[in-house]
Amino acid sequence: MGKLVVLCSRGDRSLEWDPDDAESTEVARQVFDALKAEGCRAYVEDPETKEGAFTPSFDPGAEEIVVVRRLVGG
Amino acid sequence: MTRARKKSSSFVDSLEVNDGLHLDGIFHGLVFLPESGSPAAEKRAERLFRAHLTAEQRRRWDTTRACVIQGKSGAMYTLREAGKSYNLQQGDERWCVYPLGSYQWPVADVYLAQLLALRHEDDFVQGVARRRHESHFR
Repeated sequence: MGKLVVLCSRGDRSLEWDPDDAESTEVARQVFDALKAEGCRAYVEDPETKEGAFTPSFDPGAEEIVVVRRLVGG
Repeated sequence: MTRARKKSSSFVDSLEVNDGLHLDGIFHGLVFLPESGSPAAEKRAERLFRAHLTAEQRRRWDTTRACVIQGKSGAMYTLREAGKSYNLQQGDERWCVYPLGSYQWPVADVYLAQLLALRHEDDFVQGVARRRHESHFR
């Protein structure tokens, strides 16, 4: 299972998908694309090593993708 | 229209982008969780933030409420538990950068956003952060 974690005003929300299930994967992909279109940034990390990257596109094989609203300077 | 498209459209329609991302509405698979500001939301945010710290960062966070982050560029940053603005330090500068509309967020979610951005794309953060010399805060 993959998990899309979205940080938002009411705390983090999560949406899971099963990479073997076309529909749940497609829903997660579309949500990811919608958030990206709003200017959100997304990151994938290895849970153990913390190695990872900013990810510009949905990765159905990711264990967890954290989506953050656009960063601004104060 | 496919079922997947309907579900994602329902989600997109529920976005209120002027005041943070409100993920309301009926959306299959989306887990609805307590409001920010509630002890449960703050606790969950802290747990998620800690899960993304390395063991050394967690140890330092628990003892000093600060941690050092190495950016992709190799630069080092300090993230402090000190509100949501100007809580980042690089050299003798304090930086202010946060997710748009995050004034309502649990503070640990803001720290997680800062942690991930600095760790994986600090060059991007450098481009948007507002900076003040350390002496400004003395």
